[in-house]
Amino acid sequence: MPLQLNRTTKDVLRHLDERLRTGVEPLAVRNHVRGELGPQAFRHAHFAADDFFRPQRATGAVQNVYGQRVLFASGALLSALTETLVERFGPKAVDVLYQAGWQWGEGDFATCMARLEHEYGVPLAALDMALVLESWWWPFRASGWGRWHCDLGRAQVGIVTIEVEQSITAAALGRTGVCECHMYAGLFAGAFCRLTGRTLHGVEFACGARGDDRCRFAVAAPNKIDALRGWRDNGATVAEIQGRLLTLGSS
Amino acid sequence: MSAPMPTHGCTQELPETAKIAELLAELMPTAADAQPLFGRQTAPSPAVDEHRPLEIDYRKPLKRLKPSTGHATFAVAENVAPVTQGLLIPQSELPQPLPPAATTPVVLPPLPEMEALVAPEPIESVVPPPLPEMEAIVATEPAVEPAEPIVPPPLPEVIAHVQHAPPPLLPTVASLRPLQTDTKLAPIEYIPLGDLTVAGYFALVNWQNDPNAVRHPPLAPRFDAQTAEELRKIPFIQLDTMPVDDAWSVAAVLRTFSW
Repeated sequence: MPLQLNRTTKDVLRHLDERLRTGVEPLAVRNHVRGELGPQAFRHAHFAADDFFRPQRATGAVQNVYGQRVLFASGALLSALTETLVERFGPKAVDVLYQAGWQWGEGDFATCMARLEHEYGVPLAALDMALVLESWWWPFRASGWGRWHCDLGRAQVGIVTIEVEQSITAAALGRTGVCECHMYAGLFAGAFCRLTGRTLHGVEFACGARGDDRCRFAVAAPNKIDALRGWRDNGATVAEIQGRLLTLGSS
Repeated sequence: MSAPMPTHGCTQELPETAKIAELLAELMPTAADAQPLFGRQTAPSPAVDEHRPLEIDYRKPLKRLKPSTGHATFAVAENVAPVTQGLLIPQSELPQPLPPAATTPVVLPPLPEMEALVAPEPIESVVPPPLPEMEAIVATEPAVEPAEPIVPPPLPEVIAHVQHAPPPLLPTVASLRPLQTDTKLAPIEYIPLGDLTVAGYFALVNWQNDPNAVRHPPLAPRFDAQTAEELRKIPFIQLDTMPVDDAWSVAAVLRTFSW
């Protein structure tokens, strides 16, 4: 049975209309978003915890402002989950976590695309890329998954690099000496697969559990990711890997 | 055989009621077949064939009571004081309270004699005067006047524009529709607005947050050159009113990727 991480897109749009509408009629379809002052059809700013999370005390469930089910858990749950998977699947636990993250990211980004188009009244292709990415990651940050920075500067080689600070997995598992944020890698890979419509893989080549200052991920075509994984496993440093990223385009 | 209906409770409580009943019993003629008012045994209804006609002798004049002199009459006098005056009735003129009821039964005076009424004389028939001759009323058709066709006043262009305005466009996902740019309305001097021009009034009423709508040019530059240069680095801020192809849109960014 698939894990119910988020409701259907229809439910998300319904929650959006119920909670974030300001009463102003939505504007006509525009070709792009403009930073204009004035009444908006939806309320976009909801940064406080009591504004973003909506507890349902009758049922004991918590939802965010978009109607997605949220589970408050400590790092002990993630640690126990990882240990249980390792005990059950052995070396394949990495793939299990990666696939779980990939399905999560792919489904969540599909819902986010529909939500953004409905919220801003602009087709996704005409929205700003930074707005789309930040709007998708904001619920994760509000839920404690850390701050991120998405770098699209290596478009000529087809690689997207992502940096995550305060990774919840690294904080839960502690200093293990290896990269542990496999779920994050699958999450980013699934999201960009949905965004680009291509088959992309993700890998983590720097992790706080390994002693690095922050977790770093790369999303690219499968062959490039395999190469990058090889560099990581062979002991290349983060600076070396980042220096070699631009050479992946020619391979 | 029906059970006697219970009497009202108050009739058994007041002693005066019992005394009244005694007096009535004395006055009422005793009959062998006298039955109480209540508790009368209802006989079965006779059949239609067995129904006997009422025994009423119309030849006998009806006995009616002659109005007695004891009735109070209200004599109309010229020197009667109006009702509004003299509301305070002196004590001497107040009616004396009735004496308390005597313990002994009071003997009422005999009833007045009932005299036979004499039928009044027949009223002589008065022949009413003849009706005045009336002119024959001939129904005539009303004069057909050439009526002009009713032409409603022309609607103001503003109202006509609103009535025939297309429904507002809701944002969609799959298509990019052209923007609404027809926001110009012909100013009509129907509303006196003083110093505010009609065009300005309708511009405020019909304002829409449409980036492609014709806007009033800024009177002064909002930002200096250095600030505008800094603001241009932020993709969310658009300083130019003319639409510019965004280099940071999703489609534009994805086009730059060589996967």
